[in-house]
Amino acid sequence: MTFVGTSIGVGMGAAASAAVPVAPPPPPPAPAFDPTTLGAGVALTRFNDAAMYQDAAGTTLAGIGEPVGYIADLTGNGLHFTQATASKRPLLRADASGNRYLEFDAVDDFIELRGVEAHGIHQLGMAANFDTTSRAMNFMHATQSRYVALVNDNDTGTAINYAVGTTGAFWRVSGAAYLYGVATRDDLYEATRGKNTLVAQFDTPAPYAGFGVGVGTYGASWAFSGKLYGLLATTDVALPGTVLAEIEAWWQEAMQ
Amino acid sequence: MSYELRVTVACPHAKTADANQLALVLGESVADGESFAAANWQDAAGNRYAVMSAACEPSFANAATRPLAAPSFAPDADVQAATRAQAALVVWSGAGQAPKATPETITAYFHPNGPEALEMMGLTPVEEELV
Repeated sequence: MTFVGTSIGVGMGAAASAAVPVAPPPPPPAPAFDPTTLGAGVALTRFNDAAMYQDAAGTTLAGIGEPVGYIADLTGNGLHFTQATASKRPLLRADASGNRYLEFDAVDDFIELRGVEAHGIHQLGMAANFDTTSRAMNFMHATQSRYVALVNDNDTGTAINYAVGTTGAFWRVSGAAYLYGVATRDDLYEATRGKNTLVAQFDTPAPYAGFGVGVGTYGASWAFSGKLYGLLATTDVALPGTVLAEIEAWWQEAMQ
Repeated sequence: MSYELRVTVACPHAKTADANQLALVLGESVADGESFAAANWQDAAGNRYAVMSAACEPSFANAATRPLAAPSFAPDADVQAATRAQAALVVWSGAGQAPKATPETITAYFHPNGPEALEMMGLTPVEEELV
């Protein structure tokens, strides 16, 4: 008797079939991170063509090389980052991999998140890494694991800070900031926590810790002329570490 | 649109109000009247300047030198002040000797790098305390 091919085992019953090793089905893919699940008090964005607009009203999409006056908050909380003055808008660029980033001119560019008082937002941040040799920073670089804080901790009002303007409180990210290289996100938080003395001038709840991270270089007078790939603003306690890790992965997913 | 050029402008502190009216008249919204803010750059003599730097379209140079009129979004713009600022403009586009910033002029460079342009104008940022 000759058995050929798959005819072997046919009709031999369940016990015989169980002896054949069967690979387990692959686990279902992890559900994609959804910014709209973050709840109130959070603003989050990553930069892509659908989130960046030229004008502060968010009506004209920005192309590569064009100024950005509006970055959509993807949480649904309506906390959009804006710049109303045309000359102060950073430019939308694309790196060699096609990743979108913001380029600040290190003179007067910045973006703002207004209305944060009403939402209790105390932190502003991003996660990235930087190369300590060249001082070029690379987003989520595989071999460089340093976080970089970009903060303003005096009262110049020209870097990342929290302030109260004529139209309310706002966070500001600009092209002139101080950079701190630290090892972990917790270190980053500690390095920036309470440094913004500008905040102390206003009757606002403490602590106000602002941090942001970009990709690029800094030079004379610590002016930042780098690349910014994403933004997060949140209350002090709104986001546990597991969620921050999810956000970092979500950023990284878009920056391959 | 093509933002191929970068213009960097140093405005003496005393001319900031006029320069902001010029920025408003040439701009796209009332917020452009706040283009020049704190005078936190200085020349060797200690004169203070407010500065701005922006990517612009090639047509900007012509627009900045033509007769001015109040834009529709700011009909109350002070065109006289804007015209004074326009008259004080000294524009350098890369040919010939680069002019230095002076308290009497509003100096504008067409140069691809804003901080470099300010350095060439003879300006330095007012030192701030670094941690």
